[in-house]
Amino acid sequence: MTQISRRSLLFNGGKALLAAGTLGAAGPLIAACGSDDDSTSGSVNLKYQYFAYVDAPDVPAVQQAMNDYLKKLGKSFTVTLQPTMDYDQKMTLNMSAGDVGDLFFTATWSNDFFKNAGSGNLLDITKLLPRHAPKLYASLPASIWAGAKVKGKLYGVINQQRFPKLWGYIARKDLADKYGLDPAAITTYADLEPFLAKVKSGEKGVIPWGTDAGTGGTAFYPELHGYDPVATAYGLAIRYDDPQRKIINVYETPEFKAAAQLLHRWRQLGYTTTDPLSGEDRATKQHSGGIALWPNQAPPTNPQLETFATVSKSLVPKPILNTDGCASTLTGVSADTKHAAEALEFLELLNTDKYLYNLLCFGIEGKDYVLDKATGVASLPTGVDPAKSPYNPNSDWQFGNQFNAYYRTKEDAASKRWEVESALNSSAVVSTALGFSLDTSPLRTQVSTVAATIKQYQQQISIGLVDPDKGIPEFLDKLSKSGMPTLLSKAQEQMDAFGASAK
Amino acid sequence: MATDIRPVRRATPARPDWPRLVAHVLLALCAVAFVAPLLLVLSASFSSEHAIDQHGYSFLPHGFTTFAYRYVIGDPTQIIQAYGISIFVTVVGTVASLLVMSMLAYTLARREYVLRAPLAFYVLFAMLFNGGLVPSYIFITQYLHLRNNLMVLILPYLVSPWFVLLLRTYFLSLPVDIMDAARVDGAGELRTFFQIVLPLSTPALATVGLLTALIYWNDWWLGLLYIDKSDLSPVQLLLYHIISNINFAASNSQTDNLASVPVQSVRMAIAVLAIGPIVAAFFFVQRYFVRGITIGGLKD
Amino acid sequence: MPAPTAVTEVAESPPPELVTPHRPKTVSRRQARLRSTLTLFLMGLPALVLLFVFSYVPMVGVVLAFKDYRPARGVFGSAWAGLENFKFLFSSGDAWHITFNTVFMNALIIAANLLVSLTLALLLNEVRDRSPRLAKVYQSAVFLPFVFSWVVVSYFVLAFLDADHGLVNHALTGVGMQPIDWYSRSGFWPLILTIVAVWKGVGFWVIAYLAAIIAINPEYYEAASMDGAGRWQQMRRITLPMLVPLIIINLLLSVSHIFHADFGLFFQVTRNSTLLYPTTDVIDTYVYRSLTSLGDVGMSAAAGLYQAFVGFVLVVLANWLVRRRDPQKALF
Repeated sequence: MTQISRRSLLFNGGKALLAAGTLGAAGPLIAACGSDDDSTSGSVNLKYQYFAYVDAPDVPAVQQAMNDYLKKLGKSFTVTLQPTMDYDQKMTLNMSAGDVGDLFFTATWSNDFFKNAGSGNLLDITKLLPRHAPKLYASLPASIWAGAKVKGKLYGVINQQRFPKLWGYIARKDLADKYGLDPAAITTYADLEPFLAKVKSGEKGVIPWGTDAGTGGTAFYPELHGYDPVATAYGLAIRYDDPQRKIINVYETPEFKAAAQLLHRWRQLGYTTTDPLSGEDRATKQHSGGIALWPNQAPPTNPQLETFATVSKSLVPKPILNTDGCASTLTGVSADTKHAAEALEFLELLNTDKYLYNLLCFGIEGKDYVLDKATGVASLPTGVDPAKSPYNPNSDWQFGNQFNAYYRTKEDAASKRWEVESALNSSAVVSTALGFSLDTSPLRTQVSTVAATIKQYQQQISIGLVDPDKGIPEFLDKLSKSGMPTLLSKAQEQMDAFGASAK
Repeated sequence: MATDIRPVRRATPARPDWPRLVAHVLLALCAVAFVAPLLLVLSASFSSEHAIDQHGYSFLPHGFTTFAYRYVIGDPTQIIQAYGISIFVTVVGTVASLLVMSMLAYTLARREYVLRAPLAFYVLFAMLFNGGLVPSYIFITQYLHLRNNLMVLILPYLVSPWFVLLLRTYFLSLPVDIMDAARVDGAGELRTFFQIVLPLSTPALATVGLLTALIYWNDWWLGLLYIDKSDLSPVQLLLYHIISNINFAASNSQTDNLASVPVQSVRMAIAVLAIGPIVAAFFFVQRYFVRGITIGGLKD
Repeated sequence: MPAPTAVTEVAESPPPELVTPHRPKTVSRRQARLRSTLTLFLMGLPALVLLFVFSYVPMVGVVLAFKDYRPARGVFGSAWAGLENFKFLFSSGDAWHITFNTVFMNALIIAANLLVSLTLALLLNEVRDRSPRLAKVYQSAVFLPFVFSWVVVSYFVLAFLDADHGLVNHALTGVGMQPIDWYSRSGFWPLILTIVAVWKGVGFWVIAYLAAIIAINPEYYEAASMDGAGRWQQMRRITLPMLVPLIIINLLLSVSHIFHADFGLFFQVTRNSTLLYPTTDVIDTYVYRSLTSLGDVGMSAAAGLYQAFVGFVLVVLANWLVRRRDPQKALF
């Protein structure tokens, strides 16, 4: 211990000296500040900023391997990886500070895509994409690309994957077996109640249903009830098959209320913690088996995060292909970038070159993961805890075409999961609003105040912290004061225009 | 405090003095109540996770164990790094701050200085009106590009108008003759300042220095706004992250099943490690604080 | 530029006294004065520059409140938005709500601080001559929380109020009462935050008032003693009246800051729980949230300017009132 600390102190001392040097040379102080640019001299360096769950010490090594590979391909650019924890808040601040990477992850549910497009944070790549990334552009039909278009302009590169959202539950397999969780008997979240009750009485120290103060643990997802969330961050949706495309506020629906009442009851019955956990603590508990069952997409978008076996089932009656699903994870090009062409060339490679993509997803073979050549399954080297792995971003879905990824489990490989999901993308029912994207530029204030109100009220109601009979009316009242009526009517105008042009 | 509390009241005749007894009881209760939270956290850090799950936090640890500390020390990199940052920021910040503030305060205390009045107003006005968070944030990040730079934890607090005026008041109270004598001897302003004024001002400097050091050591605000690299996190920012995300501190685990990670007790152990030094220092330096509050003319 | 540059420059300029004695007297005096002025200016320069950079430049930045800010265009390149940002701030009802919380909570804290600090100072004064050691222990204990950061305080509060493990809920269930989910019930928090604020800050005021009591001329007490006044009467007739001017001035100064909440108290101690916003959302937390989680620079700046402006008016007003009572204590 003493040795370690001495070394670390020395290390810090060195850093301190360095910083003191900067202070002494006060003149160039400010110039010396943007010094975390480790661009290789001469060539173009692209900063790629994305969402991270955990610190990964091996990121520099992976970045080096990627750059070596890019060099081997004869590319004129290198890339700097910037995995960012606490992504939403950090990106909001970065956007205000005009300090974002050349490329960054954006989505309808995180680092708000519609807002970024409407506020001019994203580069219009309508013409650039076919020119600099032809294979990538050809990999998806125009109807899907429409999901990332706002006012006819393309603002993001879609990461191909399963597009319809299959909301359901995931449960610890051992507990599901022990307490007889019968998937056939479960068609709604409410059907889970007997199982949760058994876990509550039988398992000490295990939370039956996981909720958190961030976004996790709700029992309401619009797709479960045939709604297409056309602007999920502002609670706007239509019925997926509505030819009139009438926009509604999902928080006014009886389904939302029923789900809130369910959770309110479950909380009182002690099926979840009294205080909601923070998102991070919930994740920690979940990955360590401290939660028996939690709502999520099923099968999970990224398996293998858990060290234990799980069972899962989707409760969505009809998978829906909609804008929200297509634009569910995007890589955007910053409006301020000076290297748009290179950025798109990089995205072309990331989406079509399996080696490069899997390097980013899994790290360095033999070190961060091992690949079973026969089955094509990548797994952590034996004895490595997923939480302690030096490189395990576990978010293939945000880097590129997920169908290029190695499988993470034998089951997925055996069932040829990517082929099944690719087929699902073509077979899902198509929402009448597919291709509609809200243009937020004339609604900037409403958009931020409505989003703020939703952030403040929605989660606490959804996870049953407040009595829905009191909480929902208050929430709706606050929403209408925040400009929801304007937002609804303007969105309807845009939707009507979309409908007219779609005919 | 003994120095500050001189007995000035006449001794009262010796008889059963129940009002004084009541005063003692009240004060003792109060003192216990003020220290209690510290004891609660200390006790939690020595409790087993199981005990906390069963009995909650309590003033005496159920099942005394040092497991939480052993767990933290198993991989102390993060904490040692944070300590390094905090110590560096506090030391450099305090020394630099004292130097620049006292120099300015000295010039404002020199009656012959022609710019004295306008500059004093310049300092004062900075105290009365501020642009607020948003302009500062935009300026520091977009124009100074200080994000994720160690200097951003130091520079904004270097000059406190309030401390400058406090130092000036102190300098003004120094005997004028000494300084005049120095000047007659041909000493320049710099020499007068460093060789005469500063040595005479150790009480004020000690006080302002301690308060400044406390500000730097306790700061999480600048880190929250401008630092998003974990290796640049000062102790307080690390603590802030840990209260909602235990992963931040402890990615190592000695057990295979994370379920047994002692979340609550580890959290409290880290808190104790973070406040330990300040509590220890408190007993040595509190008289300076007290003096500072008294010197400060009782203005907040 | 920042501090050290100027320091080097100052150090490099030759000390004037080495030259002056050899020059004719009149010239040397003027020169010496010039040199002295220059030296003084350079000495003050680092701090003046820092103040300029970190206080004055942001003041110019308040124009953001009137802008439709886009980072790519910079502060001055962004289009003007007139009063749009203010309009939204005030029309959404948030402005009233956060103003009320800020003023109400500060008023509670000011009153509680005054009451507790005066009581403790008077009690300490009663025991300090007979038991100086104990008095010192009491005073240290009361002052201790002053050195903790708000982050640390939030751990302390969590240990008491955590719904599942907190001391308070275990005590409640221990006596057969229902546990309370503290971090979800906004109604309790004005009281909780007042207690926490007093706990952390009162030591400062106790010392301030005790110092003032000690400074009272002992002859008053001697005279009162001879007139047969008891301790209680001495406290009421001498100590308290002597403290009144100080109390009034401190109150005025506190009230002048009533528009500025202690961010750490309202952000860290509540763990930024959204359920508590009805009572704990103050101007400072609102500004912070608008910036960090909404990215609404314009509205956030508007709220900040509103606070700075009203705050400034209050300070000037309070200072004027203080000056009327006691010019010595006035800020300016």
